[in-house]
Amino acid sequence: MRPILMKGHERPLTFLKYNRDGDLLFSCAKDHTPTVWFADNGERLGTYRGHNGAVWCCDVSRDSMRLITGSADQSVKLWNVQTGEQLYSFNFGSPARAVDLAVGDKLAVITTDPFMDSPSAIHVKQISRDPSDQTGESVLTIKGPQGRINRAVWGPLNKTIISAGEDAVVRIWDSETGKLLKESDKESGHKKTITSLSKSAEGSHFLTGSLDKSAKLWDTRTLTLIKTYVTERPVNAVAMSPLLDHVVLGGGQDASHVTTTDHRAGKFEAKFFDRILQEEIGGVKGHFGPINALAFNPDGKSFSSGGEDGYVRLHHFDSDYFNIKI
Amino acid sequence: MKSKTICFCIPSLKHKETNHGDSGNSSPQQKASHDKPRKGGKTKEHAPMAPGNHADNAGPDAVIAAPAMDAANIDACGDGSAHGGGVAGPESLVCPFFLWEIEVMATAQQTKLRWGELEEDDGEYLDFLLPPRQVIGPDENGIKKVIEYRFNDDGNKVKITTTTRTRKLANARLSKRAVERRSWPKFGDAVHEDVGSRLTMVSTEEILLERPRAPGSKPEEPKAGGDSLAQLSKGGAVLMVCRTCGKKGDHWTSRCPYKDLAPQAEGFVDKPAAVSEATTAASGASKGAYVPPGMRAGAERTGSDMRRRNDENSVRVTNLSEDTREPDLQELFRPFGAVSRVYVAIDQKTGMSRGFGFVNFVNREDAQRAINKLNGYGYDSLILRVEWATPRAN
Repeated sequence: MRPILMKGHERPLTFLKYNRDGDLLFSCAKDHTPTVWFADNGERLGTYRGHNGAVWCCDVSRDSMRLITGSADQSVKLWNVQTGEQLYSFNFGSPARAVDLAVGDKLAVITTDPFMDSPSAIHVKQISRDPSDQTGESVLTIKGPQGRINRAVWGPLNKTIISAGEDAVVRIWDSETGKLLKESDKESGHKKTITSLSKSAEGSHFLTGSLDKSAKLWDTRTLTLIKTYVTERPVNAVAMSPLLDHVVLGGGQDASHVTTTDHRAGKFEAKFFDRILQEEIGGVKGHFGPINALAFNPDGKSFSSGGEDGYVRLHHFDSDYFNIKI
Repeated sequence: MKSKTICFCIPSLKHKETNHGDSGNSSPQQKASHDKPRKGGKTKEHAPMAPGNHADNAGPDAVIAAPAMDAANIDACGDGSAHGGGVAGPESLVCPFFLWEIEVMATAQQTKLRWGELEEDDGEYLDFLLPPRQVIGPDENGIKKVIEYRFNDDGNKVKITTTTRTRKLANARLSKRAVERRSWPKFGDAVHEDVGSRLTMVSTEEILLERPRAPGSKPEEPKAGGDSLAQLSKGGAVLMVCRTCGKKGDHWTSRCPYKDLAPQAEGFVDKPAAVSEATTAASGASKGAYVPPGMRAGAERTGSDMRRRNDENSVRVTNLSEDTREPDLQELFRPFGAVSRVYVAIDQKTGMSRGFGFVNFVNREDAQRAINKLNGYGYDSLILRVEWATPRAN
């Protein structure tokens, strides 16, 4: 396949997200402008100007009208996707790390980093349809986890919030009361910082990737560990294919590989694993730096990866991809 | 052809040679663009055959390593001036394969030559007008040419041709909403983006989902496999540098195909050394100084005795490294054919190879091939000398 290279960002990529229809790709990077691209040919549609710090995460509403982005400038902003206009800004006391919109787009979960004295926290905010009604009040605030919370997502039917972070523990919280419902097991869980979390298409299980060079698949309701995928590199980004039983891991620097002479495009690769057999199917090379973000198009026929090199690579699969057998 | 219709404004061009090869990006295809104008330069001389040129330049031979061929943007017009360059737009849902921008302007001389017959003053009045933009739509290869005219910074009229190959990368079936979104205006930093911006490019390389290899096996190199030497290279870490032609990675000095470049071959010329005997005890350590009697100048080559077939196909290998053993030679010579016997002379006291050995092939042809291929071959950091054991190669 011939990937499409999009170099809209000057700094490393942090997050990639497709909209529900699969025609727009939102990219966030450490330069302060999230960008939106057309997902079929990689043409840039526009950028959202307004943040003053690295943008860590974003999410888009189901109707692709609203974009929410979390940034290191201690604010989370709501944007109109079409015009690029900023609709609202939530301000916090510390950098915002992860955002996720709930099913129905009425609520958003936002995590903030530990900063000076305040510990990391999970906030739930209400998002109203009409931007003028928007208030900055939190519906719920959860404090407790040690260390940075790198990702937080909504559980099935918005009943729970799943968070994962630097302490390598995955936690499930009740979204109404804020009570901790479950924690992942220390022995079977990750050993190092969890960098990324990705839900399956229907939400029954999710995948976490960690700097301990592995990714684990968990059940959403019971938080039982289902599968583990082992690689040679610390995992920075994970994604699951909505169409086939594939899991993709994107990773970082592995010192032993630095000196190999591969004169081709770029040696950092996104590794494909079979979700059930836990075996590696293959890798897609090309990035010149560690891969920090991965996202699958909801139709499963293409995926994109964003790296430390500032490039977003959009891959449309060839027909052989769909015929891979182990 | 098309070139004729566009050339009418040319006499008013004040020329100078500016050759902007590319507009900033240093992707491989851009570098190659430097070649284009020169190639176009050659075709300029053949300008009268403009139509032919046009087709020529548009051909797939035009390019480089980039598999995505793209045409040279040189249109040789009647006056011999060549132009190129420009901007083109991708079509929705179809990915622009290549966007090039080359600007080449002709020299003044050629203008005078070509247009000498014409009235000089014609067209001066209409200097400020620019011919309309032409789009020559995608042909069967998907190649689209857009020809535009502009005044550049010096006030010269410039013709810019952009050749784009559009290729469908994917079939996108968009929902109604998505189709609407397609027509949204650009915002943010993308507002002033002309469609020729290089933010989005298609990779020049074909990237595959590479299946994992069994640990220990070498990755498949895209080099010319099948060459037995390549197969034999140890661990892939041999960097062959030839002293004669300076080319790396291809052959050793003694196997240089360009041997005549410089008188470097001294080392392997047999100096008529006054060394005796013979055959076996040729203390293989002397590299190139010893000349076996059979190979010295003036040596008589007697007919072969009735020897066993085995010894007829015997190959002597000299200049072996000291830790070479039978299995190594076996492994080295096996690819050429069935080997009936290998022997490496070992010093009993030190246990190290004395630097030479013998390999007996079952077939003479295999032995001949082995000699051809391995003589001068670099093995364990020494250059092997491989020849017939009885120095009579028929």
